[in-house]
Amino acid sequence: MRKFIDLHLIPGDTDLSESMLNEASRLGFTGVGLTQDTRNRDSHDKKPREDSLDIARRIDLRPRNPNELTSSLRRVRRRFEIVAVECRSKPVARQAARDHRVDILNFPTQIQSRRRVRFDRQEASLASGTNCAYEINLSDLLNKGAYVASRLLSMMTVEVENARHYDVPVVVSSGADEPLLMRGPRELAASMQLLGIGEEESLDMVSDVPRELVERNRRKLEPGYVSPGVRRV
Amino acid sequence: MPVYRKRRRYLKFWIRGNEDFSVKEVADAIQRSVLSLYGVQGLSTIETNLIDFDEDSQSGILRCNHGHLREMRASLAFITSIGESAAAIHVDKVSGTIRSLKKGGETA
Repeated sequence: MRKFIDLHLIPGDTDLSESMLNEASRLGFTGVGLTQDTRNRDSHDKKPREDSLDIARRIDLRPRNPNELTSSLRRVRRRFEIVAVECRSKPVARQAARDHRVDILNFPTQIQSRRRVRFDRQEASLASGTNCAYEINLSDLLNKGAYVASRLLSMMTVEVENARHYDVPVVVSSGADEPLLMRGPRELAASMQLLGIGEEESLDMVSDVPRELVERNRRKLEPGYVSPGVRRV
Repeated sequence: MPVYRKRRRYLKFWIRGNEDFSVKEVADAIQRSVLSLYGVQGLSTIETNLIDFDEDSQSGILRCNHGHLREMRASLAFITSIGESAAAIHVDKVSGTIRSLKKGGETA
């Protein structure tokens, strides 16, 4: 049986995060990536949950330039299980795709910005070398007018093709900042049909791909880890 | 003589929202979502139909063509409001018959 993970929940405060975690459990997720900032990152770490929902600590970086990205990564990498970068400019996107410490790449949702910075072939080629994942947030497509949604869908379709061409893992998440924007795992996967993704592949994007990402990073964060295949004993 | 019988899928769903909704509002929201994503042709091939809706529990049963279950799920995922109020529709279970859906059915 598949274990589904929603890697991108963005609750603003502790009350909201509790209700979103309960909702995730009710919707059938076994794990979530909870976006936290550096101040409130310990709020859910120590509390054992009755529903055994697996919570991965995630941070979304929004650097303005490559130098800011590098210094942020140095500061946060060992403290969070998932590090995502919102690429606001091409130099940041290129640096993020090149850096092994970045797990997930996000791109702007405004059409004008997306035309400038997108997951193009060069970006996909760089990301495939570092095993960096490309993320699709369903919330980016919700509450948009027909024109904006259709433009975003066509851009995302091309980006998914680029990701497939270079074997870049694709993760599908809700990107919800409130419970009403959360969707069930099979609904998230079914929405990927709009991007031309098949049923099994889209289900993998909500289950196996995010699970492997979290497990790989947890192994890296264990004491004694040196590099892939090398551990200090 | 063999008779062609249309195969269906029945979806048990529940609504999360800030207020309660009527049958008509829910049916309209579902139809609008299918129309905006797949157009008139999609609406005719998906064959969406609200079979039952309980206004007290805000849950119901929806029917669609068995070959278009993914389109139906995607349409439900894109619903962000019902009437004038923000809401989301979540699928609980899917089954080939209403009877097995009420018994237990396949988990969503």
